[in-house]
Amino acid sequence: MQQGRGDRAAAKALSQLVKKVLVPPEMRRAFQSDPRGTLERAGIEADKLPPDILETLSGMSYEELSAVAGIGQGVAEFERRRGCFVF
Amino acid sequence: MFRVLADSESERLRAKIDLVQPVLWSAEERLLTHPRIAELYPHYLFLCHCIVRASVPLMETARRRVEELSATSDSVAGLDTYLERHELEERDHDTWLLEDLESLGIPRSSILRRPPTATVAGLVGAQYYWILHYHPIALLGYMAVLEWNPPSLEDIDDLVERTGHPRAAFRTLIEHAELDPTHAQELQEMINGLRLNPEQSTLMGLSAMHTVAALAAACEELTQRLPRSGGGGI
Repeated sequence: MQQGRGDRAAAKALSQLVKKVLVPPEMRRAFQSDPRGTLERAGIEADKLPPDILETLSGMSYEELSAVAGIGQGVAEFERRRGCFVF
Repeated sequence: MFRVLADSESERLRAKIDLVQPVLWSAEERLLTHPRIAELYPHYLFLCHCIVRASVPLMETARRRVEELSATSDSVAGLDTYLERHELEERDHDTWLLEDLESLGIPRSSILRRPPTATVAGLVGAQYYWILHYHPIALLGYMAVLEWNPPSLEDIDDLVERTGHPRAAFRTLIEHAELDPTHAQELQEMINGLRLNPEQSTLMGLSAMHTVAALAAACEELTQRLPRSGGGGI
């Protein structure tokens, strides 16, 4: 079954990805050139991550990955769909 | 490398927004479910006014930059026409918000006198920086966050009921819910019609993610104005 962000294991893996791979600058740099290898080195199972999120992160520039790192753990919060009330 | 499924520019941008959007949803959830949301609602409208009053000036600034860049390799064909049309669609929405606030008995003079927060200045100001000092394509990332995910009328009805405020105070929010699906479609088509280089694509993503983070921070500030229980005024 495909992993979604609402899945608890996926959320945990995503949280680990942010903490161990995106926040440390050297891991972030490594992830940009070798996503799968960097995840393995960080002890994160790529298959546990939501594939769409992994694909998005893998296609990002270093600057964009830095922006995600700046947002931090919030990206791993459980999904709740409500429209954007601030406009 | 992982395979990248998103095969259009708008899909790639949407995927980046979706990645960070939970931060904004969580912040909005805390705001909208606040037990004193009725008291916070006028402050929420003030926040929206601070943002919306900058919409048309931002688009005008971006359009002028597009025109300046038209003879250079940074040219983005069609963006100026799109912005000019969208300026007309967004015009006077800030006045609607002032009218919504007046329906709550809050005079517009008091709203216009109140200083916008540093968070809002950072949200909107970043766009001016990117437009004036790098490339106006940044603004499309900002607009995508604001327009691609409007609230449902059902959620607005729920908010009307929980605040107990007159429906007139929700006019802008309702219009936003009704108009933005069309605006979102137009923006998506616009983005898909652009031929962006990797740097421009990165900028659009950066701008969108910065917008999400700044909006979330603005919502958190608003939520923290009042304790969730007990007394304490603004």
